[in-house]
Amino acid sequence: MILDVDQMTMRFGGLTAVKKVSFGLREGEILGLIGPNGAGKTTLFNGINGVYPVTSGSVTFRGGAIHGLPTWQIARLGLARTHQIVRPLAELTVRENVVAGACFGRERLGLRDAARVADEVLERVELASKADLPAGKLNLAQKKRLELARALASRPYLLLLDEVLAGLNPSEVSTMLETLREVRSRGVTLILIEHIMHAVMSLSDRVLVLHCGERIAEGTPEQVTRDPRVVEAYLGDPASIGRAAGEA
Amino acid sequence: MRWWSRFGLWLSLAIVVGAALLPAISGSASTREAVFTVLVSVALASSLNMLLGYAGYVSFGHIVFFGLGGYIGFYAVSVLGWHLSAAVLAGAAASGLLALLLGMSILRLRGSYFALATIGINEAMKALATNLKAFGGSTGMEMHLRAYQPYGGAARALWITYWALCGVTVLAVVASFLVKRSRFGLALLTIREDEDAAAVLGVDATRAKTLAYVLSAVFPGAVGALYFFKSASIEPGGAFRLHFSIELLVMIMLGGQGTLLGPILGAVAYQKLRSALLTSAAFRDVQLVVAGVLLLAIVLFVPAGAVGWLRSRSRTLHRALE
Amino acid sequence: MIARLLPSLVDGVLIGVIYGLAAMGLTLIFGVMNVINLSHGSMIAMGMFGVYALFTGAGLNPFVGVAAVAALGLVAGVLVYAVAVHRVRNAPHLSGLLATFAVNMILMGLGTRFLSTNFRNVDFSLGSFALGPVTVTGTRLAACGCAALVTGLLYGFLYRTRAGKEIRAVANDRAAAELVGIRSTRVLALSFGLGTSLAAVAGGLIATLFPFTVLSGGTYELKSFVIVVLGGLGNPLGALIGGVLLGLVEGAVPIFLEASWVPVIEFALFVLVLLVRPQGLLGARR
Repeated sequence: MILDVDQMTMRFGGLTAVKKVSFGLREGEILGLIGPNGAGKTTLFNGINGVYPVTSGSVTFRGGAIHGLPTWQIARLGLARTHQIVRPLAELTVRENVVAGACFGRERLGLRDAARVADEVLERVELASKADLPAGKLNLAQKKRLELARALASRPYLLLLDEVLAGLNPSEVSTMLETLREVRSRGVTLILIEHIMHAVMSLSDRVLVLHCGERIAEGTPEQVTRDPRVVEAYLGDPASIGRAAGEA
Repeated sequence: MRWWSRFGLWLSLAIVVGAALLPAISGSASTREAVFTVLVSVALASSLNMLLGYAGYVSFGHIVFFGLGGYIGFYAVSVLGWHLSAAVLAGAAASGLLALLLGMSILRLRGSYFALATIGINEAMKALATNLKAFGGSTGMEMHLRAYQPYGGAARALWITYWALCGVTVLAVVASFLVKRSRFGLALLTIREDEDAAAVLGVDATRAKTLAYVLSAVFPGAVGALYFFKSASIEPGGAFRLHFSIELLVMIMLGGQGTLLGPILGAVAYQKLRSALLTSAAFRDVQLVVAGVLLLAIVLFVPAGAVGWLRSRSRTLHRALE
Repeated sequence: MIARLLPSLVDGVLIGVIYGLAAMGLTLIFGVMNVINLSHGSMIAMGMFGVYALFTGAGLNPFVGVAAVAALGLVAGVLVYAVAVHRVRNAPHLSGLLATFAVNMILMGLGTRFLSTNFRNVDFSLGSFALGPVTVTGTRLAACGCAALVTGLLYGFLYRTRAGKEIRAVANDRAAAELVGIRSTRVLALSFGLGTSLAAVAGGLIATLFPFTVLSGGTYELKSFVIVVLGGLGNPLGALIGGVLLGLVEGAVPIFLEASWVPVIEFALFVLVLLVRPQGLLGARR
């Protein structure tokens, strides 16, 4: 178990965004996290990596409790994360962005070693030709790859990906999926928040479904797509949509 | 290729050392005084740039470290009878300590809140100094000319202070360069760009910011001790002049924040402008107005400053001008 | 000691309302456009001199002159916005701070050049009144009353008029306000002008109470900073209450310590609030 989330609850004033969510994650797995907007998926990520406090429950990463630790400490333990709305360090170059990931991540490399790692990662995500550009000048797809590169440069054990495919055209989506499969083949465990169903289902080993902060289903992609609760809350039933269209 | 990659540093040092040597060549005391004023600004602006330009934290009250260093250094020499070098170290240490304490508190604040807090700290220090009888209260302290005896008399003491200031300025510029090129400097830059994203990358922002704050404080502390030793008097209004703090910001913005060369060129240009205005009969009374117009023009039209603008022109310039 | 405390506190409350008025101007601008107006001090000074000039030049009752000064402050503010602030309204806050500070430098430079730094005084007296055990001067009472009236007018404007609603909308969310058709530039300019107008009125009222110089604006500007932090940045009611609190502090401290300790207490309080409760006592709008 690389990650063990037990009865995690996150409350903000009167609003409970995450309600007693529990799940385990094995090393090398790809877990898909789906659910309607506002279900609490990003909040769950924020709780795991320490951005927001966990009201109750526990998060255990590689055998050690991480709930309550500051974000930077969690990052240094080997837990990296990308954001739903990309956050490039705009005035720094693409290379400097990735070097930063390598310098302050799990391996805490010095500048020279970090530069080596950065160049290697940039090759893998196909951004090497843009290395000297200011990060702010990239287009969205490139910024997403930069965000991924930055996270990978920190050599994480676990990578939380928040809608890394959003806003990409179909060919960019395929390229990214290939990259993610390659990342997993190198031993990194992934949790993926996504709305692009075919991508999540083809990539994930298991899928977790959140709705109103609660876990309503968990299982293989096939199991989850057939689960009536999931269909009702999120996926929609093609047959019933067809009937409604017929009546209109 | 290695010396080329440090071109920015050599250029900066060349300017500073070149300016420093002018009085030595001419032997003139008035040139020395003029260069002294410029170097004080260069050292202070370069230090503030480490916090402002690298970490992105705007301090309006940075002068508090100059004043505190000045008071501690002055007290050490005139009351405790210490040697100037010990007094300068004491001034630097006191400022560093204040920055450390502040780092753990007000650095939690962001943006405008932090800026306001720094003003508050400066005003609080000024008000405190006005009330502490041990430090002379509102009239401040004065030093007898005989305090200069151990240094060979007043004239020699002024030259010694001058060379010491040159040394501190060079140290400040070198420190600024080393920080910028280091892993620590990269941490500061990530904080400047996006402090929350920096935390997700593993940057311990609190520690990095505090260290930057301390570094940006020790040089003004040392400079303050030297400055007021030379002036032979110190009082709260002159030590904690909020206005000087703002002028430092103008210098940094004029030259280009976040660059090594920017604060240096900005300080030199601003002081030159200021002295030109003060000596010209037509503009003397409107020196403040001209400075204000200049600042407004920079903020509205060239926010990257002179060096920032030049760097954006070409790749070579970008690499050459640090 | 207690015998001296009560009159001091009453005086403090009366002047606190005026301080609050000035601070409301500052906090309004911050609430609407996230800019701390560092030319606030010059606007206060402008108000002081405006009332003085009308009084000595035209014999105008200062409490009437304040109305003219309000209009002057409004126009001045709109001008400052158009020239200095509009271009940097979306830039990082340092730009706004420096732009308004540059305006301050220009105005203060012109002021010291043409008005010198001599003390001026508005020699206007309304006698004194007994409020129970305490005696207050007529001018202080009138100034406080004036400030309260202006505050009431401000609230009426913000909550009862369309322009006021637009201001509150832009303060809430500029992009959303634009989406519903509000011309945000006009609103921003008006808000800035309103903020400076309040500062000028407060300055004019202070002129009836104390002697002043061209540089006095700076002192009251610093007080405004303390007050807006106490009350919560962007919160006008907080500014008013913060002003009264500061007035109370200024009244109480000299009874127990030397008067020169007042700034120390003020700024220590300022920093303390920023550290312990940065959203202020009443909660910031931003």
